[in-house]
Amino acid sequence: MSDERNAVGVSLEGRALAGWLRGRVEAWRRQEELIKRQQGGRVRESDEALELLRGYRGVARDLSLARRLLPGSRVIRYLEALLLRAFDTIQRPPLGSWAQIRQLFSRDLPREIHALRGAIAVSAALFLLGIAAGWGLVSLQPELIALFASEAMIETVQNGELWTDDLLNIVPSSVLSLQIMTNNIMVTFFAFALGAFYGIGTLYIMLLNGLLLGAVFAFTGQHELDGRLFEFVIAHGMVELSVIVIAGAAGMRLGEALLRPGLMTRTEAFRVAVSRAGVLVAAGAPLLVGAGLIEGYISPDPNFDLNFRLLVGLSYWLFMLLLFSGRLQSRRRSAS
Amino acid sequence: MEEAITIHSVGGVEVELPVAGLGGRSLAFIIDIHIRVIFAMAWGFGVGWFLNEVGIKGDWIGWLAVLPALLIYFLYHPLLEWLMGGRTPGKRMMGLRIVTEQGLTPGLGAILVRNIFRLIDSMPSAYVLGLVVAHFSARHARIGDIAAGTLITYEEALKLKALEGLFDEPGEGRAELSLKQRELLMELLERWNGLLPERRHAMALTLLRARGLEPPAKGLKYDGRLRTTLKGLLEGGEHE
Repeated sequence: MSDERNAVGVSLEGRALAGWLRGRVEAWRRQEELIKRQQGGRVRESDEALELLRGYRGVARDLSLARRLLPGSRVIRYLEALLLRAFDTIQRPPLGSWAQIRQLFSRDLPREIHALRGAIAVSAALFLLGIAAGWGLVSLQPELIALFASEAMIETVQNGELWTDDLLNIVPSSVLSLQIMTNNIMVTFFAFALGAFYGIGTLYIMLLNGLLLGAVFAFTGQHELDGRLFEFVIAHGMVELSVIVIAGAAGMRLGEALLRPGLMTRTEAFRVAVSRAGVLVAAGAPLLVGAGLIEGYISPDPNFDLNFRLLVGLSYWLFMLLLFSGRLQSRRRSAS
Repeated sequence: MEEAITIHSVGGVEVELPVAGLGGRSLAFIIDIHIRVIFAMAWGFGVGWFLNEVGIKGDWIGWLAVLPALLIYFLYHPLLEWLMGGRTPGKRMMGLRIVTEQGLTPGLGAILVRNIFRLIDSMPSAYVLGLVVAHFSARHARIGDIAAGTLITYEEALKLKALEGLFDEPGEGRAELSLKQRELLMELLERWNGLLPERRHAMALTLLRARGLEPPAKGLKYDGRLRTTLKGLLEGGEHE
């Protein structure tokens, strides 16, 4: 490698170091290749994993040597980046994302629903309180509907029609479904995330949505349209409102974690609550896609009678209950 | 305020990951939102116009024009951050990457959480809340990052290719350079066009004189000849 010749400005140590590093380039290249293969999930051979681990130690040694002898060098920058990538690959959790999603539905979801059953009851109670308050307000002071509904909507109802009557003549079902899905998923995420304001944001969302629903039903009732509104709402509404109530419970859990972190720091408690209660939101949001489709294709279509709507609404709600309680998943497992 | 997280690697070797500040994060976001909005609008209006031209109406407009546009707009961040290992095109351009507090690639759960909380970080508008929180929080984390346990760090993009030639043995009968000198030369040559001519000339002369070499005579194509001399020196040949 190095000979006794000592050229201008180049120490023997420097030459030896260059020689050593030159000999390591191939190992680094191999390490990069192994990282790529592991990350691509193509190879799960144990000897390759062991080779990656050995290579990782080698890179750490090279880095520490380079730091001592070549401070500020680009070799260090490269080796640090390589070491971090190897570290990342080695520390990666064994489960892939799909397996995590499966686990979310089969294990985490029923567990978290059970853990948050108290919060779900409170969230539902708040929502019902909002409905009662909205109903009461508009029943006692009919002009207060102006706070909750647009002028056009009020005018339509006063003319003895529902704003949902001509819906399909204005927008196609697909666009309607998409609008509703986007809006409902947003409301659900808001109900959850606003829990970060010590739960107050979530309380506000739950009460406000209840108020709106109660007020609108009271107002349509005054014009004898509440039966038809119920007919419009029933097919999609049960799952839609249930998901929002459940997201509200998840949001309240965040607030509770911030108010009463227990033995953890506030940030830790908040994070644990996010990852546990967030499971409910992650599972609930996809259900809103189905609810949106029902609201776009079935609810505004006058060809479907009340019985069919009730059947759709109840079946979808039952499906949600089975999914959230874990019964659906365990049945599938035992069948397979 | 330079901050970093320390990764404790094997054998007591530690590596620092510098945390990105508000400037880098904001610029990456501005790049991303432009890509997001332009692609979503281009798809929505482009396909909408096309369907209208060929006479397709009604339900198809929703599924073919509106749905993909919404998906591009809403799934841009979560999907790309997941598929690109904590990066988006904007973050990549700014040399940034999302990592967990342990310095690892975030999982799907953490990515979903930080994107759901985007809703409140962007309140009341233009990410005011997120910016204020990130300004005052440790490691410049917005609410979404605090909730997900993630942070944004600068990513070293140096490839093995950039070390090529650094450890080469000197050729027959040629003077050798120390690693440090080689590196300086490589750095100067790489950045040659980005430097002002007088700066790069001054640096080139310093390097040549340190090797006891005479720079080429000034005159026609001085810049190019100076560069060739440096290249020759790096490749092992001395021009005397």
